[in-house]
Amino acid sequence: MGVVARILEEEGFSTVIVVTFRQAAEAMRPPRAAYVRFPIGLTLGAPGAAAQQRVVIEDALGLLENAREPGDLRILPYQWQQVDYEKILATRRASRR
Amino acid sequence: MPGDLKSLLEQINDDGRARTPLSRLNFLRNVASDEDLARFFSELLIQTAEAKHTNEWAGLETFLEEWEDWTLARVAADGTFPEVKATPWTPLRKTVDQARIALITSGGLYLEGQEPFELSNDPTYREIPRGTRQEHIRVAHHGYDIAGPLEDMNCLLPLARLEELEAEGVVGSLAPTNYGFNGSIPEMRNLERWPHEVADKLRQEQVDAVLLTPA
Repeated sequence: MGVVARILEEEGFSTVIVVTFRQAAEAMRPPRAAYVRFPIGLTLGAPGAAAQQRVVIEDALGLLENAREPGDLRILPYQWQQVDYEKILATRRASRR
Repeated sequence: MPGDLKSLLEQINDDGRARTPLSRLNFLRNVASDEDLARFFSELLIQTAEAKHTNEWAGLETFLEEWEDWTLARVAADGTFPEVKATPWTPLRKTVDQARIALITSGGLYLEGQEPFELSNDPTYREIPRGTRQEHIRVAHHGYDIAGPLEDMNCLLPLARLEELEAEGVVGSLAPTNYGFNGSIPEMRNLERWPHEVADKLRQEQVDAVLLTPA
């Protein structure tokens, strides 16, 4: 997927990739990447866990605006489902108002 | 016999009960030597007993995470990643709340009625329009447990989440067309052609940025 990110970036699109396999991202150095220590195949969160998926997606999209340099790899801090994702979203909504 | 530990891991994998919790350790059976496995299992037993004895479980969590990292580092070292040059860079020329976002997943997602992906080296992609309903999603991939996206595509192809973000004005819009392919592609030339074709389609739909989700 790092290859696809690099090609699309060359084609003029801003890309961000969410990875559960940090070492692959370190090898491929895609333009912007967010790493989560989630199970393989559940890259954005558990099935049905809308709040969890949403928090990870928002962090990834945030990188489109605030990544500092090509190859920026952010380690997201979330511990699978031991996190109150609803609370994180509520805080973010409040700060957007 | 240390040689039996590998088949023990195979049995645990076939059993399937802890497939999701074990997913990050699952490649241990491919990359660990008999000595590594003996070290892992003996240390696991000691750490587990220690944790129960002291009711301090953080050490066990750290132990498992270290072995996950060890395993995936070995997988990466064995993997044939292509040589990469300088990383390309296209700054987003607008804010995310003005941008049109497209989704691409390598998790092998496609639509009912489309040709399924080959399980390895498939150089093709499928178009998945926004508004696609869960019951029309199919998945062909051998590298992970496909039960996740079969139950909820949003773990890999978050059409519903992006529609919510669009409705709330957090993103400008979700693209009309999004894309799935099967990322199990050992031969790089099979991966290098279609992204250019997809780029043309993304341009036609005035996409600014792409969120990529590998399985």
